[in-house]
Amino acid sequence: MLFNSLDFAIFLPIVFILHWFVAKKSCNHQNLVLLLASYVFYGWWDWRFLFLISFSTVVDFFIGIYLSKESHLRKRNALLLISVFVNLGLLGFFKYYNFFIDNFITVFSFFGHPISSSSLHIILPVGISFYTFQTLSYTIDVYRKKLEPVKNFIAFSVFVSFFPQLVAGPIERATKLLPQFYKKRKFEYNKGIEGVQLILWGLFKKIVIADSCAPFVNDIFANYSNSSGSVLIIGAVLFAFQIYGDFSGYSDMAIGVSKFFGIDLMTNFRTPYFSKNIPEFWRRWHISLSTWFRDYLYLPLGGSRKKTIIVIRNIFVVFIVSGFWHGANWTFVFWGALNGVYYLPSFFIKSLELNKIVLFKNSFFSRLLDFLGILITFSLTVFAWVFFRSDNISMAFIYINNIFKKSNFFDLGHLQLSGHSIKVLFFYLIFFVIIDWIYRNKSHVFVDNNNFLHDRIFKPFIYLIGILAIILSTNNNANSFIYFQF
Amino acid sequence: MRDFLVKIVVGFLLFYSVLFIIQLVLDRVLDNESVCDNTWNKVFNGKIKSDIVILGNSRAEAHYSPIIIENKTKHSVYNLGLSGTPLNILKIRWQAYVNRNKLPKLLVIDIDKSVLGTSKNLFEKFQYLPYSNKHEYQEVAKEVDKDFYHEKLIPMYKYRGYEMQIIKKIKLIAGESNCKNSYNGYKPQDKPWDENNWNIFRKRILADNAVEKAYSIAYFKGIDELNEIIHFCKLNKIEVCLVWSPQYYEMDNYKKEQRKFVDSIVSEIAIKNNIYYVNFLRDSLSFDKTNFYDKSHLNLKGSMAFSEKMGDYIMKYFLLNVNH
Repeated sequence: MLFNSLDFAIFLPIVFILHWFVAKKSCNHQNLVLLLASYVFYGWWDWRFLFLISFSTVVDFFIGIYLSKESHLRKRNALLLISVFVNLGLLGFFKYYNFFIDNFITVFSFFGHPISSSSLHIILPVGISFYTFQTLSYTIDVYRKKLEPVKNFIAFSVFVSFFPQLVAGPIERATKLLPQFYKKRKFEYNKGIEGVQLILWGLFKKIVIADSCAPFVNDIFANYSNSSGSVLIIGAVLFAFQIYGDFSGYSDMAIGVSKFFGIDLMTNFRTPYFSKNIPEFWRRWHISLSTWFRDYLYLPLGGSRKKTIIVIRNIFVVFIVSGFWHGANWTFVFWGALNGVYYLPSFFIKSLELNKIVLFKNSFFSRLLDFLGILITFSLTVFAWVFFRSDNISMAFIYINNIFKKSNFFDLGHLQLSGHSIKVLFFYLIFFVIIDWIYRNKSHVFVDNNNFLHDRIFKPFIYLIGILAIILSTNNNANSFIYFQF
Repeated sequence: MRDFLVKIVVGFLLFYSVLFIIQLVLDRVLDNESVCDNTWNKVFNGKIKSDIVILGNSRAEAHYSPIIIENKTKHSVYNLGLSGTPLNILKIRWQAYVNRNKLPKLLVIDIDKSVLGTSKNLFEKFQYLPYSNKHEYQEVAKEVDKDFYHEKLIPMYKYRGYEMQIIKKIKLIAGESNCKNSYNGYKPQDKPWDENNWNIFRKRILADNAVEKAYSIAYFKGIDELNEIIHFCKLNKIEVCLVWSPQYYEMDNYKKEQRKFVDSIVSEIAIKNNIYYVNFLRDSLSFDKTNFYDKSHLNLKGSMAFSEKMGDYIMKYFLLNVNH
């Protein structure tokens, strides 16, 4: 069930009514409604997925309980390993089995030992990468004694399968999300209003920005060999907006929907394209995954408090694993490694934020440097997205090569797409960038009541433009979210 | 909770109403006479008072010059031809026309195998949108348009994806339109024969000819629609003339059986209803490539020559007792 579908528009009010009016007596009743709703939501894709998530839930629930009872280190390690093995095993099988088989075949064939293919037709369960990491964080935190294991199976099941963030995050920490399922929730007016704002803004990002960019991006990436340099650059930039609108739009809607049920989720995006350097970008992009890797991979590997060579290794491990997490394709691995390369200078030059030099502070130069920083960071990010979007690495290199190689650089002929207007998209992008800029330092949009957007006359007008744009940009069939495939 | 729900409901109703008003305003703006292609505006606003009316698809639209036929017959003529539209959709225009305008004395229906086919969607849907609240549109659209009910319920939803067309039409309304050759629904194409296009068609059709479709089923609905129109005309004393206007003669080599089938069905209908049916496929016009811009459409030169012939034909076979 997609957030941007009619099914969900019917589903959400039903769950809202059941949660606040039918199951209002106790926390357990409320959790039960959320659990049933989550399973309906997830089973809407394919009911067989429910076995997987139930299995993962049961395993981690009991491992958590045994971990709390067990004091012997070797047994505790064994329990943790079981959880890691089960969760990553499921993920590995469903997501990476065919990738590894295909690569083994390629390697053996290369050395003159061709072997027959035995790839399976495996359906990737939606959101498996997200809930696997979420349950893993729980077991690891219990293992580290940072968290008391949950005794209430329903509360734990809701934590694993909570529908707003089940299929595309944010990947929540047990320490933050679980306690919210322990106590009876009371409806808060402000949360409800914030929820509505976030859902609308998320829909705008998804439908107006991402889905409007998609046809152009698809067309340009499909015809990259015939397109001019300028068109290829536009294609890469539009993909940057597409993936941002798509993924952050989903996160905003997830956070907004959760607020309807009195649950707070972590902020997943903070206007990342206004970052002044790459480390800042990674503090603002997919925050829940970045912090997950920081806490459960980078720091256990030694973080940045080791020898230089170890730190460099750690940085690359995290970025490459992060890339691989996105999908079973070398393009994602390359994308991750490239971001690792981008990240390295910040390690050597401790502060790239030159504007903090006293001489420049609050001056025109400071603002100019900020602007240049944003421009360079955005350009580097767009460059990396080409690898992320391409079917394979050689395609990405040809794409980039064609940007510079073609003689007809300014020929925009290939931007003509029947039924879609680049002018309309351009207008929407400007509107989007302005709103994003206004809230660039906030946790989410419309959070600050002191700017002109909250003017009594201006505010409804902005809402009207947003809603009108959503209606006018809606496709006949609800488009899926890019991050579902991860 | 109460405050929240009240705010949500009030907010929803407020935005819903505002969007609905915007839609109404846009409908009114786009329903404008001051553009070249203003037939919908005239049809839905009862502005057509012609004695002779032509009905059909793009071939009708491009073939029948009302000026020439008017000059010949001394009777006012309107061309209701609509591109890409068979009779099951053309019903919107026909019904709106007879419900809201003065009934004609003579109806000329341009027949071919396409016009009797059945379309499952609305070709160039944007043209219908300002009139989507009219019952003539709704009766047809609910049968063929899967988004019909969503568009009815959600204000402005029907205009999704048409932003540029809205702007373009508003610009046309605001600016000066170049309506060269267009008159009373007639849209001639002043361009020469396209040999390349013809060769592509031949290659495609030869491949397609291998399996001829079950055309008797394909025309079932179209024939029904034609019978209905003829029946209405009989009841209202409107004379009917069925015309198969010129097509490039080599077209006869392709889908021959299908063409024959349609021709025989139309002949049967004509005989049964005692109405005229004239087929121009063997007319001299059909043998000269310079009269066409593609296989099925006459160009400006060809359509002028054809309209002269149609004018003579109407003069010869129909006595119209209308005063000017």
